[in-house]
Order: sequence, then structure tokens, then C-alpha cells
Amino acid sequence: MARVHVCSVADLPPGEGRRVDTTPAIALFNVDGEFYAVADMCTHATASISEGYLEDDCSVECPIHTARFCLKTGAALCLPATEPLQTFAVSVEDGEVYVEVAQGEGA
Amino acid sequence: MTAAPHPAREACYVVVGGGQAGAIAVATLREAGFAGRIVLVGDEPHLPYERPPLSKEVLVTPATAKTTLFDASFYADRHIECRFGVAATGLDAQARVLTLADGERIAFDKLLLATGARARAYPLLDALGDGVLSLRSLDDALALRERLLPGKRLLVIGGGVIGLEVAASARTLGAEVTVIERCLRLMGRAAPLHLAQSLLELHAAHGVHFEFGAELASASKADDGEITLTGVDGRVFHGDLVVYGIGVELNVELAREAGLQLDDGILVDEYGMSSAPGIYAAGDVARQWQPASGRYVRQETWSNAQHQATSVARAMVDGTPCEPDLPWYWTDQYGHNLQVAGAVEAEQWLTRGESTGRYTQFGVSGGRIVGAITFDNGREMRPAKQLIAAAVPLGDAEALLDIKQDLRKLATSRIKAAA
Repeated sequence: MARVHVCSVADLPPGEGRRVDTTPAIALFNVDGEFYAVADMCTHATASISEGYLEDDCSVECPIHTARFCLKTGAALCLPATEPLQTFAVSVEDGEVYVEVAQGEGA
Repeated sequence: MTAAPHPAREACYVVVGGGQAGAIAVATLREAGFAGRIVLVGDEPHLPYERPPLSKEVLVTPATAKTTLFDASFYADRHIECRFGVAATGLDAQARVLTLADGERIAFDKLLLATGARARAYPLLDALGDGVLSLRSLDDALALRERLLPGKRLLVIGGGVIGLEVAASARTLGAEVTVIERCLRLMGRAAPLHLAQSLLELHAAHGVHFEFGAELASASKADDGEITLTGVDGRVFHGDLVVYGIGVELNVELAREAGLQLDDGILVDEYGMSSAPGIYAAGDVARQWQPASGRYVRQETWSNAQHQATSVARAMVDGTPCEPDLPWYWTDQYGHNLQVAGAVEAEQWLTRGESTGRYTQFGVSGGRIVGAITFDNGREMRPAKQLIAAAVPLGDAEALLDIKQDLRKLATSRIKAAA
């Protein structure tokens, strides 16, 4: 596994998401201080999940076709998506946020 | 063969139409708890697919384009019987029997017509044969992709959403593009004038040539395949390929044969039920009664196919009336995502965040927010839709247009205040 630095905790306030330009790209969200990372590309069609609408129940709604995904498990919660999003481990050290990507992937 | 349902047979719901609405409907019937027999009939040989990518990804990035909604196992796992590549040819509303082109007769308890629409034909152009295409089906898109080569001169007839998306895809692929539009502006049905103007500028910046107010008088094709179109005012256009997108014709033949009430679509009530008990309609072909606005509404959008199919399928299972859905569509052109919701004929449009290159616009009529547009700013569409749905008064416009204010929070507090 490789660790990719994303940003400082302060750069991504609660309720916000951002795209991480790894390969494949990752969507990182701050849900009330907890960070979650999932694949940025919607499993249903070409859409960037990091642009999505963060729900109160720790799910995200795709900005293009309104499929919803659980940020904890990546599970598709409603049509039109049926396939889960890949999830990625997130770590926070000294106020900096990192995501874990498989070897060979990365920025 | 007997037309009358056998008293002991399993309850059977049939969905006619293998598009977005049909596939979503059968999935929803199961999800909503219907345990009987479900049959999905579609006249195309393909598994149900989505149409939005046909004018974009399927043309530009075919290797990664994804159109199929659900793979075959999705239907098998849910015990949904599929009849793809077989047209429904007869519908007897009294006997409740559907007849297919291969002679199969299916007795049903309820049936959903999701037959959609087909591209409106343009006989003047169709007469030219090869080199003239419309774009509605996956096969249409594959045929177009084969011919859209760098340097080809493409004539696009019709400056609506399909025409512009094809133009953008063709430019991306290196074709020369001229858009020929009968009216004096683009997107006459689907966008306010200022947005049509922005799209015109975007396309012009990408080298698309436009001809407005051009009505075609004649069309011919030379031996070498060059196509020549002549306008009634004498303008002449030459090209190697013509794609036209001039609207649709509704697939109402079955409904007509069954004697259902039609008026620009199959008229259905707030449950999605037509004038024939047990027969429902959803998607492009359905014109649904909306009690809140007191009128029938028909929408030709992906969003409506998705939402209406879901809600009518639910109504078929448990009798819940459909909630009207805000009109909403998106288009992707040159890597930009544009979304439009609500009333496009708003009196006034206010822009939030224009300087940032990605913005949201609010359409205001009678002091209330009635429409919204996002340009590369899809994340604000959801709260914008919430503001429209709640008919929130415009109030402090300055705050609404201040991009330092989170639109989500602003929408929540305004909706609360208005309630």
C-alpha cells in the first residue's frame, strides 16, 4: 500500500468533499470530523462523486444521476447504481489527511 | 390458447418497453414487494440501456462508455422474465392480454406501457439513404460512431440538446461541424435565451459554425457521397454526413389499439393509470395528471423516466399516488456539465459565482425561486431544487448569491423560515 497526502484537516471542513487525483481518482469527505474515502467515479456512469451531495446519514448522492452510496461501506443505496464504490482507508496524522492506495496506484 | 386469465394462475404484471423506464419499473415492482410473475418486453435486442451516453461517451470514448442499466443476472436474480428483441403487437385492454410479434400471448393483471418515443422522421433527408442519421437508439449511436471521422464535414439539423451534444462530440473527434437551426436561437424548448446564448458561444469557441433561420427546401447526394442541402432562402450547405434531431414521435400505437385516452401522450392519473383499469404508463409516452398544478404534464427526460417509472411501479404494487417530480435535465458538452431544473421561462435570472467559472443561476418569477441552472456546479443543484420545490420567496438575494455562503445551509434555513 502507498500513502498519499491529500490536505490538512483544516482544508476540508465538515460537510465538504474533494477529489484526489490518484489513479483511479478518490473522493474524500469530511462527515462531522470523520474522514471517508471512496472511488470518485460513480459506478453507474461518468460522474465525479466528490462533487456529490453529502447527506446527514453518512451517504453521498451522485451529482449527476442521484444514485446514493454509503461512505462507510461504499454500498449502492438506491438505483440507478447497483455496484458499490471502492472504499479507501484514511489516516490523519499531525493534522494532515492521508489516503491509502494500492501499490502501483498513486498521484 | 385462452385469452381469459386462469383463475389459479399466478398474478402477472407486464412492462412493455425495454428502455430506462421499463427496466427501472420492473426493478421497482420487485423492490416494492410484488411477488408474482413479471415480464419485461422490449423490441430492441439489447439489454435495457440508458440513452444519455449515446450522444456523448458512446461517440467519444467508446472503450469506456457504459450504457447497459443492469446486466442479465440482475433480471434473472429477481425472476424477471425478459423478452428482448420481440415487439408487442397487440393489446386487449378488456381481456387483459398482450400479444407479441412471435405469437406469444401474455395474460396480465396489470400492465405498464413504457414504450417511449422514436426520433421524428425527416422524409426529405431520409430519402438520401446512407449518410443521413438520426440518434435515438444504441444502434443509431454505433452507426454514427463508425462514420464520425476526423475531417468529415458534419451537418447537424436541429439546435436542441441532441443536436448540440452531437456537435460537441463531433468536434472533439475532429469533424467539421455546421449546426442548421430553423429558429433564430438554440434550445428553443429546453433553455432560457441567455443560456442558449452561452451555449452558442461555447460551441463557437470550439469551432462550430451555425446557420439560423434556415428551413430546408431540398436535399441531394452526389455519386461520391457528398450531400448538398438547400435552404428555402437559397443558402447551400455541403457535407459528408447529416445527423438530424428534430424532436420525437411517441410510440402510442399499442395504447391507441387498446382504446386508451390519448392527448400528446397516454393520459394517466396521479397513480399513473390510464383510462383503462389495470393499464398504466410512464416515461416519455405518459402525460400525467398533477393535482397540485391542476394540469397534465409530459416530460422527455432521463430524470422523468427514472422517477415516474419508480413511482408508477410503486403505485401498481401498493397504491401510493405519485409525487410530482421537478423537471430536471443535464447535458455534457466539451467537458462541461450543465443542469437545468424547474421553470425555464422565469422572469429574471440571478447568478451566483459567475467569476469562478462554475456557477449557479436562480430563475425568479413573482418574487419566488422557480428555476435553477448549474454550470459545472452540480453540487448546488440539490439545494437549488429544494428551494424551487418549497416555492421559497427570493428574500435576501445578496446572501443567496454570495458564494461564501453554503447554499445547502442557506436552503435549509430558508425553507424552514418559509414553512
